[in-house]
Amino acid sequence: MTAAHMDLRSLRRCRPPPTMQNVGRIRRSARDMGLSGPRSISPSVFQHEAGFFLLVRDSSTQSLTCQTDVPYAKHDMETWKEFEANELTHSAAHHLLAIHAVGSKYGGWARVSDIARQLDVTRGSVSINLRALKKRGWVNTDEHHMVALSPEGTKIVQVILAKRVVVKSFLVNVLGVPEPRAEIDSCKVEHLLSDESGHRLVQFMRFLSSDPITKKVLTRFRTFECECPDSRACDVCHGRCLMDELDRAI
Amino acid sequence: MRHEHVDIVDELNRLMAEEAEACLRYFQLRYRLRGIDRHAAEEFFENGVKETLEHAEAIANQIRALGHIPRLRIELSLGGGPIGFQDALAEALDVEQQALDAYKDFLPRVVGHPVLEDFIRRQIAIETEHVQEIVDTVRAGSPLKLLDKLNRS
Repeated sequence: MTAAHMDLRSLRRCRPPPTMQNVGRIRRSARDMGLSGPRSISPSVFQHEAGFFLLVRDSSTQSLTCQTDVPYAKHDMETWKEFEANELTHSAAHHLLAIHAVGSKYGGWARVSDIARQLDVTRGSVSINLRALKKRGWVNTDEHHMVALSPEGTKIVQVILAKRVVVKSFLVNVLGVPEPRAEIDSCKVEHLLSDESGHRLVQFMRFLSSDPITKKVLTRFRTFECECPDSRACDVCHGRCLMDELDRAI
Repeated sequence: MRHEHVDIVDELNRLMAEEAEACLRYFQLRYRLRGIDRHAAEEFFENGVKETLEHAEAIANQIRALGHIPRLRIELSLGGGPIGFQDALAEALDVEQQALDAYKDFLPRVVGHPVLEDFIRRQIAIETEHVQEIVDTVRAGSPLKLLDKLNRS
């Protein structure tokens, strides 16, 4: 256990989260403690070999405190980090897909007006969004304002489309979700799903269709009706009934 | 009679959305501006807000004259950090250029129409002038020159 780790362990747990005013001081203090705080995570979240820590300076007591709830923090902070590091926004993904769809009819090149129609947005909006895509090197434009995917952009589109198929296929063929719903849900997650999870989903689907026993399992699942025990405790939910919570969801 | 105009009205609604969206963009850009020329630049975007709103209104009136009610469909979420005048102008140029292209694309469909042809030609002339003004300012590198020009005209 390092000295910095010892220091952190001795700090008490704190709330509420820091304000922007004390972030600079927290960062300096964290640096002194041997912690690194990548901007992409959050202004006051720092990474250490033991996990992620939320540091807060209390101006009334002039003390630095730290949330060391590592299991919770580690999972959530890593997700935030990945989410914020994800350069491909939903909007960017749709713009790339629209350029691909329109361009495939016209030798790879698309007009801004056609992209706007495809996405049902204004030309101005497309034009502004294209600036960001161009900056990242995902699209090219010519002197006539025509737009085409760069090799990098094409690669991204292929990956997105593959993930959409994987997720949709999983939702429809394994979970039995109706196709229109699966189409919408796969569209929502296609650009957020990691490559690793995508691979595992494909492997899982292949596993299910690999032999008669697993095929039987899938057939049984399709006729399975979930009945929660009165105690609301089962192996899946661990003390909280997820079915109840999902029923309450809007 | 009203059904004959449906396609044209759809296109007019799109043009109105371009102008209304540009209005909101300029409105927000004004508050993102930073730098030494900020005050002069703010005035430029203030003018932009007024003009684009006037254009949207003019299009809405044309739609009403055709016996329809304008439909405004905009999907917009504006964020972004501080921006310098040159970058803001580059965004404005993109928006104006797209509006100009949209009017130009629409013109062939209203050639021969007693009112719309003249209206669209006038809009093309105005937008062409706007685009040229912005291009000139980008070249000159100062918003003050643009404001001088706008005040003179």
